[in-house]
Amino acid sequence: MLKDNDRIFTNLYGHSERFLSGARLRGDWEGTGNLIKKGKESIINEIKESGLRGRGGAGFSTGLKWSFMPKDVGERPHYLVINADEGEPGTCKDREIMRHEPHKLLEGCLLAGFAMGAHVAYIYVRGEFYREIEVLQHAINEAYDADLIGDNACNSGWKFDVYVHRGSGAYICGEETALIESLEGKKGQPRLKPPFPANAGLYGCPTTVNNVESIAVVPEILRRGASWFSGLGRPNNTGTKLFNISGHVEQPCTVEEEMSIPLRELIEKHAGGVRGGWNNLLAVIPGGASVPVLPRKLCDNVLMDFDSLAEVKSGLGTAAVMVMDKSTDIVAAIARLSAFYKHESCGQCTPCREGTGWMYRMMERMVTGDAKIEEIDLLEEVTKQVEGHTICALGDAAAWPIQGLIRHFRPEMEDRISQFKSTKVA
Amino acid sequence: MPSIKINGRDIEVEEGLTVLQACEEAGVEIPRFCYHERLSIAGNCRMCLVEMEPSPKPIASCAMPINDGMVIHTDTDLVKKAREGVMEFLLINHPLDCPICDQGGECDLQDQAMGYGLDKSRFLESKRAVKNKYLGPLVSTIMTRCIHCTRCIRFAQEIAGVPELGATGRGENMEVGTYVEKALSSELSGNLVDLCPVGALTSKPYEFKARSWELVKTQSIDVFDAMGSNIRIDSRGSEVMRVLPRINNSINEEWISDKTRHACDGLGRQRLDRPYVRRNGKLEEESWDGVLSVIAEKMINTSPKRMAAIAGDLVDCESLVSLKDLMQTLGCNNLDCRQDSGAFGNPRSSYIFNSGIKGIDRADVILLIGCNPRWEAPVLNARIRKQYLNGAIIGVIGPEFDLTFPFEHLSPDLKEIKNMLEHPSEFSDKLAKARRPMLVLGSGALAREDGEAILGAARDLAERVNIVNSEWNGFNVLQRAASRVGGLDLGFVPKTNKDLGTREILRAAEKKEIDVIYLLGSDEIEMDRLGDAFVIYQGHHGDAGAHRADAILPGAAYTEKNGTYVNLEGRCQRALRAVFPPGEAKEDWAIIRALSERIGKKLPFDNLLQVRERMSEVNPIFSNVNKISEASWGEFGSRGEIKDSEFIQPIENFYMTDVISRASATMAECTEVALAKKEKAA
Amino acid sequence: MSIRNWIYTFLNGKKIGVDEFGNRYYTGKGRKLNGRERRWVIYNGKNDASSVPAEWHAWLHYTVDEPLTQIAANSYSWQEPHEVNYTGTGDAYRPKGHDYKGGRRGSATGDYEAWKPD
Repeated sequence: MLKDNDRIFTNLYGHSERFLSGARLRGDWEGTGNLIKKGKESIINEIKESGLRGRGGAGFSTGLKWSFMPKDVGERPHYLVINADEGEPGTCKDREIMRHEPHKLLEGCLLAGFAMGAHVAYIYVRGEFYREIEVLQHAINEAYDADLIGDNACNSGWKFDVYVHRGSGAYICGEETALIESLEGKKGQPRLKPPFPANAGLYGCPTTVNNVESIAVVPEILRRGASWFSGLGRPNNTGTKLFNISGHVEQPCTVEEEMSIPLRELIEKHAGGVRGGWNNLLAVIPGGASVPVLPRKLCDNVLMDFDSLAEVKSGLGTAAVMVMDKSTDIVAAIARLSAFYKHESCGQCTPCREGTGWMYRMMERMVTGDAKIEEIDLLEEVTKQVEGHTICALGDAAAWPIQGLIRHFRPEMEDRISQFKSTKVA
Repeated sequence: MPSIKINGRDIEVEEGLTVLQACEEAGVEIPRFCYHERLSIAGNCRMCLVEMEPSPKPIASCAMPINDGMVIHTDTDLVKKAREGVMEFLLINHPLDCPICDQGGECDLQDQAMGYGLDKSRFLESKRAVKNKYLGPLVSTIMTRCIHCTRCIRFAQEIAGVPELGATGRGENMEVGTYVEKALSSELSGNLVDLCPVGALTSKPYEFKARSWELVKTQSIDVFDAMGSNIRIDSRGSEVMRVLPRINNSINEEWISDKTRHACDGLGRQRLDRPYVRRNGKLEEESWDGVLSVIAEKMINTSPKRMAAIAGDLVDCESLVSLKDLMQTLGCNNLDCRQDSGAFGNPRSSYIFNSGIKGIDRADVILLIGCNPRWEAPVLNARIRKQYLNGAIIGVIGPEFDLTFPFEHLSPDLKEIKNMLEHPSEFSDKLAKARRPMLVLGSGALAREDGEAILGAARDLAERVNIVNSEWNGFNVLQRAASRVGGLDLGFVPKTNKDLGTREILRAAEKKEIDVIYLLGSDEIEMDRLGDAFVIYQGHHGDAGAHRADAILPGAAYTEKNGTYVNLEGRCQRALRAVFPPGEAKEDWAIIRALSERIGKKLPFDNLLQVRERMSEVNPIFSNVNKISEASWGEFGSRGEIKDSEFIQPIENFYMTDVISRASATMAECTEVALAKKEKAA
Repeated sequence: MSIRNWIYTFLNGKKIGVDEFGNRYYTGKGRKLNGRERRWVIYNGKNDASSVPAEWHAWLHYTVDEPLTQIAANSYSWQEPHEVNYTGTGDAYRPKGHDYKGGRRGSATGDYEAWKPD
């Protein structure tokens, strides 16, 4: 279990002052100017060594991502874009950061922006986070007033501006290239890759898009050193992580924990355990809506990190743990997710546009059992036809929960179909 | 040159290609819907997925640039599965109404479903239905069939320059349409129908008229503007059903204007199908024999000085050379192929588009003088727009007009040309500094009384700012009539200053100094100025000319004869006959040949081949078919004063400029819609 | 009507009705075929399946339980009376100028609209 002095987000619950005075007490903006003076290379190397993996879901090494940006700023300016379009069902970590620790994010923006040669950071915030945007904007104003950002950020001579942009509530705008499109004022649709944003992103300029959490932990890593961060968790899955536990637990919560904490320990220590005890557990979705569901028998031993969850054919995603006890209609739960993806598909590429609707309608019938046994195979095949054939990862995200359901709960689905048949005959 | 491996075969390809293009070069077919050579890459249909080592996921080949050493597979199970999957997704919400779909038989989806699809449907849910949209009188929509390839959206935005189409809604509910319902305001909207890979956008005038396999396809040349767009005429029996573009990268790429495409229904209306002679003020039907005798008698008994001939805008070179020879053997040199009396000079370079249409792709500064290319040659305008997108600077002298791209409006007054000559301006600096500057002089400017002066001033400006040099000739005249360059090349103009041109003929006729006027398809002159001359009208439509005529010789329209046309860049092209002329109408050169025999001055040719030999004799460019013949630079135009008069656009209504389009019901509808739009805007 | 049909109908048939063309409709008395009562028609004159009007067609094909004669009687003014299919007979539709109609097609008409002076 994470020790209190290893905690990065010490005001996660907003018990103390969230604005600059409180943030300074917690150590934010402490020696930021000196960190900048270390130079770009050293910052990027430090992040690389810390083993920080992107907290937005895909888990790509943050340091490596920064190093893809062109070394020197050419004719085109560099941009840092913060993805705060937190729309993944079950996820509420970025929201807490923006609410109670906005200065961690801003300091991270400055350091990350400096490291990649960006003078401007755009924070693309989900439109529904109305109050959070107010907090963030207030924090930005404070930081400008205190010369922490602005023409001479933290006396480092680096000019740095931060802008908040409000999204309009489309899930797809959390995809990095769709976010860029949306930021440019266009319809939020993912772009084709290549070219990657590091090459041609916002307004055709080199751009890095990072998750809020990935950026917010950067200052602490640089202050405490890469070895401290990489000492937490397992190799390749280092550091601390915000976990959001929701569903059938006694106390749903967002909590900062060490990576690779066992799922069972996480739920029992922080969320007061599964409603009705561990034996009442039916399944867990360990990383937000877009990863496959895990049945109870896999939940016993699995560790909450990228590699361990990948081994059981699921994923860490955003670390939004959704717990379902035995009262859950698991087919209906997954069908609801299918409905979500059908609603949120942008409609640009064929497999996702047509496939999500098809999957949703089949899932709806699976819920009542109004289907044939063979249709389960058909459903699985359809998910395979969507997976990996789309422009962005939304197609995959729509396919995986259903694949997980069929993998682990096929008997349940078959029962339902035969039951439906028998009631109909009667 | 990067070398890549496709299906185990090493091939070398050019830098900067995409995987799909490389595969095409290697002879490997990749199915596609959204990809189109002339549009930006969207990569959204996912039909072109191929396997690339070592990527575990298939990649969209249309969007993936090639790298040296790439290994591509297009024949693996993974690729087959991916294609089948995408095909199935496309078909689940696509109605299987091929038997009643106009696209049936020429549908990409149909063809590729045969090649790559599954043989049965597994989809048990209900299909999506989408409300049809209104896109104007030319494009009919059945939006349920849309597969969201966005080709139409990209075409409207990138080529046509009217960003009026777009997608609303997302996911399954995404719909393509104009955001607010309205007709497309593009002169190129018909091309949407060709671009649409399915039957979502079909041609409204052609709707449910014919199936593609019943049509006889004939390669031809368009006559509605001077570009000489390459077209294919699809006919059934004796009726022209539709007109489609042919690909010719030097001229029209693969676009044609709406008039070219849809005016063909005018070919079935108001046709002159039998000879007429006016007796006692009333036109009466007459036999060929009778009408030729009447005309021959009249022409024999009239002094050559009191005769004249004017040729119209749609006339082919064969009939021009025949009529010219006939008139000249009679001793009459009062000939003109310019209904608008547009000025021209002696070297050929004074009346053609010297840089060639393809030259636009290389120009970096373009000055448009007194023309509206959007209406005078819409496809050419799209090409200028393309060059604008590539960074060309465009300036306009003359009235302002929405050209679908922004430009610097230098002056509404044509006097600005002289100004630029005398006082170098900001824009003339740009012209002088440009590598390949271009000047486009409109036919409307040349048709003014001071046309000679404008031509001369433009020529001087061209020399001053280095528009003409040893490697580059950017002095371009934008002709408007399909017959104009050919007519000038054949010398269908007054021989000397004493002979009369159109302007003088009309003046003389008013004074009753002309007794016989031969109108060869000429309808756009002021008929009430012809006095009481005996008017012979030879043409294919009953329009102004036929109403005024004293004798009518029914001829053939451009689809009904083997004709030669020279386009505005001086390219001689041959059109083939698609259908036969209606009724008793005959090919035009043959009519003139028959008449010459009656007059007793038999023209020395008996078949088309001999006519064409005669054309080559008159001007060697006619033996240089499909190529541009070099035109030398020289002195032309006059140093006169450019007058202070307001510039009047020669085209008032794009959709009705000649006898065929005036007879067309489709064009009438387009005019109505355009007028309504104009009124609404005003 | 063959003798066999006549005998079968006489023995087993229960007459349901007659349509406007004089076709008679029967159901089987009691005996069922494939779980349904038998229904058949004895044509008036030549056997011509297209002479069965819609209201009887539906009944004959088990779409409805009772013939729709009531509904057919209250038909709308815009409904056309039922007609048999004339294809293949001398009464079939043929366009003007068809050889069988004896007419000769004008050589210069139909495909286009000719201009007429005034």
